[in-house]
Amino acid sequence: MNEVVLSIKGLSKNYGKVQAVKQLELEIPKGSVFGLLGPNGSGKTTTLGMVLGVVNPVAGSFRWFNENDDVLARKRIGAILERPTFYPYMSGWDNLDLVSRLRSCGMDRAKDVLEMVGLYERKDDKFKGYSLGMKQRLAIASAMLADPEVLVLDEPTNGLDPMGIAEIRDLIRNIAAGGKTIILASHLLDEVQKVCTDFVILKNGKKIHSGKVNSIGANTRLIELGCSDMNALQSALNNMNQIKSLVRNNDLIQVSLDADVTAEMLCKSLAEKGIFPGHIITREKNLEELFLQIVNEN
Amino acid sequence: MFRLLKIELFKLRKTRFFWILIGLVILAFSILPIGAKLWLDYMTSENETIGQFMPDKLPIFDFYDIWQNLTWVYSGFSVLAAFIVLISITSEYSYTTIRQNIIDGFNRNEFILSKLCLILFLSVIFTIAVFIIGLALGFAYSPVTDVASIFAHADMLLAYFIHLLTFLSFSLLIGLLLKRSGLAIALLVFYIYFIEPIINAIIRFEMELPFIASSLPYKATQSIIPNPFRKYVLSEIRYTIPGPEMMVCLVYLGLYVFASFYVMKKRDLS
Repeated sequence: MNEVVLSIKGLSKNYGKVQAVKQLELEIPKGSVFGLLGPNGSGKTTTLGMVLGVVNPVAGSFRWFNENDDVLARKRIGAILERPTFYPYMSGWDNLDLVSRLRSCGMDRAKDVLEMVGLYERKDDKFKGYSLGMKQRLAIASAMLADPEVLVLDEPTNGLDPMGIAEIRDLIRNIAAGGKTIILASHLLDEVQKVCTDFVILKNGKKIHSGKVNSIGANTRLIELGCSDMNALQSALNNMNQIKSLVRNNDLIQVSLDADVTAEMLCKSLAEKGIFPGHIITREKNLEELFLQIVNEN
Repeated sequence: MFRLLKIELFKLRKTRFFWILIGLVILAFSILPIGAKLWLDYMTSENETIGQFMPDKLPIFDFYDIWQNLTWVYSGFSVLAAFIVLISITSEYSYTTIRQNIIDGFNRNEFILSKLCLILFLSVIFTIAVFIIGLALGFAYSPVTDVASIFAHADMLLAYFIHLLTFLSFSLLIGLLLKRSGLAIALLVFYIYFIEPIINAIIRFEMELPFIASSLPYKATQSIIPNPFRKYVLSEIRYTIPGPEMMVCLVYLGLYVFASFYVMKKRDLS
């Protein structure tokens, strides 16, 4: 169960004086959908570049599948780095053909992967004529061509419209459901929360947080309240000792509570004070809030 | 080997520049002997002499002069083949496919090897083309067509082949280092037609060091095919591949190949 797909030890890289990645330690468990988060320039792409063999690390090491030969290991990984990269004058199909030659993997799956990303009808069109969303989808098809065990996706939804983003998200979920390990670098936190199981946050090349996505809201509960008399509501809430923090904006108040305090308990105590909120929404703390909190703390 | 060559040809097959350059080579290779023949016929009709020869007696298309004549003249068009190599490597940078190829499971050495396969392929094809053109011209115009005459001094084809290998490897290294097609082509052309001739002239005539002058990077690839036309004017006969020049050329070839692998190994492909 606790098999590790990729382990990174003390990995560092600098470009001149700029330290892009500092002493990074990371283990990516098999079968996880692993989110690599961080602001722009935090070292996500550099880290992926190093483990994919295109950027030479200055220090540290990494190991795929406990395998010594990382060229052999790379044949078991499908990856996109930064943006879809293909020969623009070739058709989608020919580009996949070329990838199959580079990987020596054959074209048996070409039709399947193109159908999976919904590009089969456009396979004979030149890559340069594709829309950005089609390019991203071709990149995913190409990464899936050799049926890899691990899929590395760097900003796969970059520059896409909401529909395109939703398509890619579904695609990633379907692939993950097939049991593949996915490493996803992104700054779209909403995306990561929706598809990932684990995540790390990088900042200035350092790991500042790691955890499981489903435990993000584990020890706090967020409740949003609204009622006709906001001032009375606010003062009533201020006097309750279960409340950890309170934020009022316009006609809504957001409070965070210990996880064992439910909305029902809160409403009961408000009712005892003669206040009946008309708007009550319980939600979990989201990754975005956690991310901003952690990034600002560091 | 064949897998790598097939990959390279697969990449080139749908590009326009490749076919345009191949077309230009075919044009140049066919126009030259036709032009030379027309000129000789014209000179004959005007009763002009070239050196001490009557134009129709000049053994330009005769076995075995033809090999040196053709390879020397055609080596001037190797720059077209160099453009193929240059664009092929620099476009991998501009499309960033050089990085994606590695991500897709090519290793860095294979990448350089595949480009070297392309260089080997172009050199072989060009040499074979010159061989066939030489045979055709010789059989059409040479007074002697016995086997011994045909293949005497056909070793100039080997010199031509080494010339191509070395010059194209030089272009590969230039492309790898400069990364941008326009820049690489402009600098290569500027270097071989402007900078090197000036340096060559200074070293050869001012400093009087002809061997050093012949060992300049581009000149070195040409010096292994001695100018054949001088003999018609000066009766200075040189039919053989010069040994020291060949050594210099081979050293360059090794250096370029080694440097290409080294640059690729050390570089971050981002």
